[in-house]
Amino acid sequence: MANIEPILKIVARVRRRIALGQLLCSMVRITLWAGIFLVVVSVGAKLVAGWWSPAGERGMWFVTLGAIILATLGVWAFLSRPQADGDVAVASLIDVKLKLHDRLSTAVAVADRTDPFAKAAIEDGLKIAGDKRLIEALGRTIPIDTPRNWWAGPSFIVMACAVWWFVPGLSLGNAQADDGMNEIELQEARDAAKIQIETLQAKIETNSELSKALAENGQDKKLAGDALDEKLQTPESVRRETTRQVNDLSKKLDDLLSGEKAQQLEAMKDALSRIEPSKSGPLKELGEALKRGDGAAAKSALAKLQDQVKEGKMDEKTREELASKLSEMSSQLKDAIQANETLKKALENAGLDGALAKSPQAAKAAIDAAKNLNDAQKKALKEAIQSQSKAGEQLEKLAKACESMSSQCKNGGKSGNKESESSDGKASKSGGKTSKDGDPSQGTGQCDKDAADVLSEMETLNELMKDAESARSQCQGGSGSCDKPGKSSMNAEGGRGMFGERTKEKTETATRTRKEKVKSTGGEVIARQLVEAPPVVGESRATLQQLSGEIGRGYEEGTEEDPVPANLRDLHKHYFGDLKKKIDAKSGQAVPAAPAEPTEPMEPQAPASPATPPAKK
Amino acid sequence: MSISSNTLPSDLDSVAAVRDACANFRVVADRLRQEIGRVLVGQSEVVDQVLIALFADGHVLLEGVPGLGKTLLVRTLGQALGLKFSRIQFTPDLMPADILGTQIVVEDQSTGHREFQFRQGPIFAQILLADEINRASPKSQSALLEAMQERCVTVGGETRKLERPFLVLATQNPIEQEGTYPLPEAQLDRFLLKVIINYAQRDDLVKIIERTTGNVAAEAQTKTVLTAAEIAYAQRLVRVVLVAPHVQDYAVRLVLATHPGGVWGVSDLERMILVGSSPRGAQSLIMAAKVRALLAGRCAVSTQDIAALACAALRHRITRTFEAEAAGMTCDGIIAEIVRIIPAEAQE
Repeated sequence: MANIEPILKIVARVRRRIALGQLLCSMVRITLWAGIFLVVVSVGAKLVAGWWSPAGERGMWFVTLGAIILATLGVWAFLSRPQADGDVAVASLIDVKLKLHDRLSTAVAVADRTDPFAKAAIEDGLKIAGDKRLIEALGRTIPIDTPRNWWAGPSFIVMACAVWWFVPGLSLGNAQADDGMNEIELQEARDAAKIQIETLQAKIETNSELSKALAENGQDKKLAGDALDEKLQTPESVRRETTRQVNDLSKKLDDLLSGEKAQQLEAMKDALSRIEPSKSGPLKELGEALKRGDGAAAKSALAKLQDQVKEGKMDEKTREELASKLSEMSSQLKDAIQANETLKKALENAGLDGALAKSPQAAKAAIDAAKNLNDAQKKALKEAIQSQSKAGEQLEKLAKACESMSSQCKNGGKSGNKESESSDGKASKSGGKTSKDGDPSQGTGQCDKDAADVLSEMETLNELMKDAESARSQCQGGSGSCDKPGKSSMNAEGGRGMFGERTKEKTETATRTRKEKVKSTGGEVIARQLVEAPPVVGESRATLQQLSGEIGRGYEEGTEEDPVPANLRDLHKHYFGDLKKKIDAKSGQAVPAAPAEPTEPMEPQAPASPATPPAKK
Repeated sequence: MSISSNTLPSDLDSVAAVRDACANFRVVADRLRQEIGRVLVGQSEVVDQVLIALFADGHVLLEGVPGLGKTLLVRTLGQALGLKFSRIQFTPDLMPADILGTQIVVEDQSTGHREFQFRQGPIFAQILLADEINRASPKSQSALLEAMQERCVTVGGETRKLERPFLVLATQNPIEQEGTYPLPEAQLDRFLLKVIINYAQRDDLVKIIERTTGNVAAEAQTKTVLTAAEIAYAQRLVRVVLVAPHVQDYAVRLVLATHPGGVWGVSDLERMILVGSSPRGAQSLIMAAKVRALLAGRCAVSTQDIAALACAALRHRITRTFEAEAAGMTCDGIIAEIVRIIPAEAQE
């Protein structure tokens, strides 16, 4: 084998340069992928809070995954690296680059041959390899180029660092990241729920009657107990539970506000609003308070009046006047009880006789017999009757107290049970009972006490309803913020609704394509034809076969008059031949169109259709 | 490619002898070029390709518009080589017998005996100019087939060898299509090279005008610079020129790239090629490249020789698809694209 060491040295040199270039390429490629991965991670971490937390378990997963990907890329780059070329291939590359007419590669390829031509070729190769200018030329023609776009990978890495360090987190898509919510967000949700529920709880507990009434309705006092349960591990579940409890409370408050006590209070207020208070004198204050339905003010005015009567400091005239007005007020109250306007309206609205309001038993029987009412309506009406009865009883006590005071005034401050007995059978019965006990003043005192109780209860009911209304508004305000994020009055964070981050549920949607039947008319004119016939108007029609014939004739005439250039003749034949074949094939498959015929006769003055111009004469 | 020493000309037993032979080949070729150049102005590439065909023992199809010196080139070559030259003007009514020769009845005046005697046709020459070959009918064209491939002619059941060297130089006009018979693929494949003659350049045209319209008494006489024996020696020398395996592989890859649907086909060009090159294409490419290397003074073929002759050796062996014709893609364009795509570097 001939000694071609100088050639092989050059080959080895070039091979090293190629390997270095490939290494650089691989590094650039790996850097590029690593940079893209880092950019994705950093942008994702900034867009979705909790998606990436280096210290958390998920963060470790990402680090591990990234390391695996990079290691895989490295192995892939190593395995897919181009195998080292043989001596001939590298020598051939040098020959091609330096335009050496394959002298080096031929010398290497025939190094083991001994014929004169091979020896001559090897000599030529060695001569070239010995030329010092070859090394310089190699540096120019086979440089170790930095791969194109080498800057892309480092740029991505710099971009990832910039995003990581300088871009603030946007926390987009938080609602969808239930599973990714970290402990801080869970605690925030629990705190917000606690504040919400504790506020409501405090509101309810300030009114013992309200608390008691809710307890009767089955409402647990410890509202926040379940909401803060450790089992609820996601903020969304905490919010849902809180919303559920608040809604339950709101419903119970609704029941309370439309329940028996509320109806009773309403009936009492309605009856009291019908009395006409005196415009002057000691009874003015009591009368106005009763008309307003203000139990506290009425109680106070009543006590004051009773004191004045008991002290007996009023002159005769005033006492008589007061007695008269008290008697009148008593009468008005009794009339209002008798009138029972609220129940009367309810019965009339239900299609029953309004006069039944005066007799609860008859009204109940009529309601039971009514066929136009359903069970719920019947129940509501009966509840109204019940409430009305209780209100009537209360007002009757009040009327009796007024009557008792009137008697006292007439007697100059002493008890006078006789009038009381004569005026009302029912009252006389109770009054008689007290008289039988031996002390007439005890009956008057009992009336006063009943009146005070009635007014106290009225005051209590007023406060109860007021607090219940307030609590219900609060509940509804909190629930309402669920639908309107950022507008809650209970906003703990300022600007973000406490319950405003509900997950969006996917709704079933579908698209249905429907093709309507349409009638196509008209169209673009694609051909015009002179005809030796009377002009016709209307739609022009022709069969494909006719067109085929026209095309064939047109081609022949055209080529006769203006010969097609020789180099294009085959093309023409091919095109028109294929066109005719295709038309014939199509005509064979499809039903041929009707032959051209006028759709309507030509009118003498009618303009010719653009598709069929007048015949040339 | 292994070359045993017994295939070498007997005098090429050393490197020096090889170098001398190569140098002599180059000198002779240069002399021949100069001699032709005395008559034919310009067209040096065409002359080189004709000489390549001559030394590679192949035939040439010259294509060009009238008046570019096709016939003059062939005639001048015949004179410079001192070979028997004949010309056949192909016409539609030309018969095979007009080319090959025919049997005639000859009567001996003394004895009155009559016998058939073969009268040789114009094909019995060493340089044959088949002018406007595509004007003759396929029947007459096919009369050349055996002569071109086997270098012999069979008439009346007798096969007659043609004198070596035998070179057919056919011409055809690319623009006239009426009344022509395109050469069948089988016949085209037998031409080593298809040479396209382009219009003369400005300087060349000036010289042509000066020579042909000036006060010159007569056309320059061409001297004979090469004998038949020297040509035969040169043809043997060409056969032993070294072709390295990777260079040969490059030629093979180029030819395989013309095969539509083949493993080595170029996907972008597959829809352009209807029929690819035959193995004769690869043979022609290598033989022509060997001569080109010798003409350049080298004793080994390079991939550049292969690439330079790819068009001339393959353009008439490729049939384009209708799509390629419609797109205006020529055979030369297809081959140039293949040469561009196929890497010249050795593929392991």
